Amino acid sequence: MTEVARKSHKRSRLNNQWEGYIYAGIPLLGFALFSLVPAVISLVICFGDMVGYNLSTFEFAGLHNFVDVLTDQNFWHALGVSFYATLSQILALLVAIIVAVFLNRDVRGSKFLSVIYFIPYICSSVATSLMWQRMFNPDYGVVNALLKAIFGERYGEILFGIEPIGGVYLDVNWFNEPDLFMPMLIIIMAWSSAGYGIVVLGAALVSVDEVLYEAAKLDGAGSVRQFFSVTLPQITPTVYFLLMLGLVNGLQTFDIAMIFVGDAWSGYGPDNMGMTLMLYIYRQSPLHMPYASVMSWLLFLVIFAVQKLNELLSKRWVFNG
Amino acid sequence: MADMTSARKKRGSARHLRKGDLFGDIVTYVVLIFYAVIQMFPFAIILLTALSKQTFLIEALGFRVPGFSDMTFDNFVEAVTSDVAYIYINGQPVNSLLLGFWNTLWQTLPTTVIGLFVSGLAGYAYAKLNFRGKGIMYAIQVAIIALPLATLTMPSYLFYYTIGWTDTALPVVIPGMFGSAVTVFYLTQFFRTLPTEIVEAARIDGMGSFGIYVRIILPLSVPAVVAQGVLSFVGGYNNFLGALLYITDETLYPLQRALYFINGCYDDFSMAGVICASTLIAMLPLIIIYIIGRKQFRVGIASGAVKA
Repeated sequence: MTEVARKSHKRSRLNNQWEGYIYAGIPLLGFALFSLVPAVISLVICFGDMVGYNLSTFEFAGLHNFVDVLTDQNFWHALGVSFYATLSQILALLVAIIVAVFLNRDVRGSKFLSVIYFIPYICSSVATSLMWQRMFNPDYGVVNALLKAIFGERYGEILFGIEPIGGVYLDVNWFNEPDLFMPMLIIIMAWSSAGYGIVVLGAALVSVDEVLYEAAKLDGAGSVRQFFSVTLPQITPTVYFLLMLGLVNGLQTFDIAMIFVGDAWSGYGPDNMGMTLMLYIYRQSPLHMPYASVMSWLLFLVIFAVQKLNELLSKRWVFNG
Repeated sequence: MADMTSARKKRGSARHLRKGDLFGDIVTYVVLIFYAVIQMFPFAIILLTALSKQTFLIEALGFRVPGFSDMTFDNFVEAVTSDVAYIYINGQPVNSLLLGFWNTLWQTLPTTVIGLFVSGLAGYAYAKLNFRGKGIMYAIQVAIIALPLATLTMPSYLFYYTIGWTDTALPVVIPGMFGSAVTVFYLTQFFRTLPTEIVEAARIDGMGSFGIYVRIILPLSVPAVVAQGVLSFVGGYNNFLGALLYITDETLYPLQRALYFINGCYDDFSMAGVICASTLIAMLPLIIIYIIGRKQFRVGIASGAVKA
């Protein structure tokens, strides 16, 4: 290497230094400004009280917000509803596995179908909610019409054990039945999110080594056996990823619950069954921000714990190798 | 990326499973078509409702499929011209759906493009530049991805309120311009697959680091960058919570917020046709973009699972 080249090489290395910090630093700066600073503020206000959104009125007041939240039955109920809502993600995952496996058989037309399967996923939560409100509308919705066509006038009693009123069989009011409200939301959320899993699992399935299937076939394994002994173990890392993502998203269910419980700020759906923790936090924020902050941080910790637990358990069932 | 192509080469690995398996084929078609029907059914229903005359919807007791004579395009016309869901800008009435489109466009596109460029720049630094502390910075950048930061969305309102950004669109526009952790991670992985010799050669030719990024790295990475850009645009287009929380000024409502607003404006059931038409109009652009760019979508989506 000549003297000049060595010099310029050295200079470029030095240039690299500050350029590297700036280039790599911008996203970290954004994180610091718009995630870390708000997070620190919200953490600090957990330990005090304030009026409205006015930080200058803030005064430290010990741990009473934590005590208040932890003794608030609504908080525990809302947390429970959020966990209930994660069933939608489990359902979506099961559906995605089934559909992805059949899709992977690569029958004629499966490319076209896979395009269709992804469309609900790219529709916004608002559009999805409005669409399904129309579907489940008690008086004019097609869901009740279909159930009536299949099971007859008494479908409410047959399927859900809803007693007739004064001998009259009324249409099932999905928006007002405590036992049906969350199942309805779960079906909708599963409908809208399964497409993501289908795409991700599809990518995992095509990369399963063909040799494994050949070997399984030589050992006399049928398609069902092949699925459980070859396919499923091979895609467990992807299933694990989807499960993790689903749990995190499910615990943060907000948009659809907010739209389905309606605009009235008083209500959280029948028997508060639409009261997800995010929705409860959203409505508590303008009333008492420190209180909402405590709940936000508790949800943060719960999700973090669920992630860690999932990670720990994954060693038992995720196949690496 | 390399993974995906090698995977694709093996495509057809499943074909052998069904050689002469007629029963398996039938089951496959039944499952796949049944699922496609479930997925498309709600779209069909709201399309029918959007095409129904208002008088038909009022008269219908229970769900009925409209005949040809009950159909009209009025609801679609009403959705983009109606004065029921007007928003007033300087006293001038504006249709809220069209306003929502416009607001989404200017609030989302610059953020997507700049955020993508910035994320790529960081990815380039991690993949191709050497600087002290790079490992630690990258470790932090990646660790951020796993944090459930969205739980803090509501308390973050306090921050934006304190710096005076509520009542403006800044809270949904500015943060994204600093790039996103997932995109940085993905593009870093991708840039690492590009041969370092190209960078070295360009450097000897006297090109600066920034020039190398713009003129060599980016052009070589168009599919990966576009895939990430599409994802980020979809996220912006569909964002509801951010707009609901941070944007209180009606004239700044982006599309999803506007759609929610429109739904609140029509409570009479006879207007369900207009709501369904508005919903369809709001969804259509993204569905069209998806169908045109479905390959980029799939690459982008699959990239999200790389960290698994």
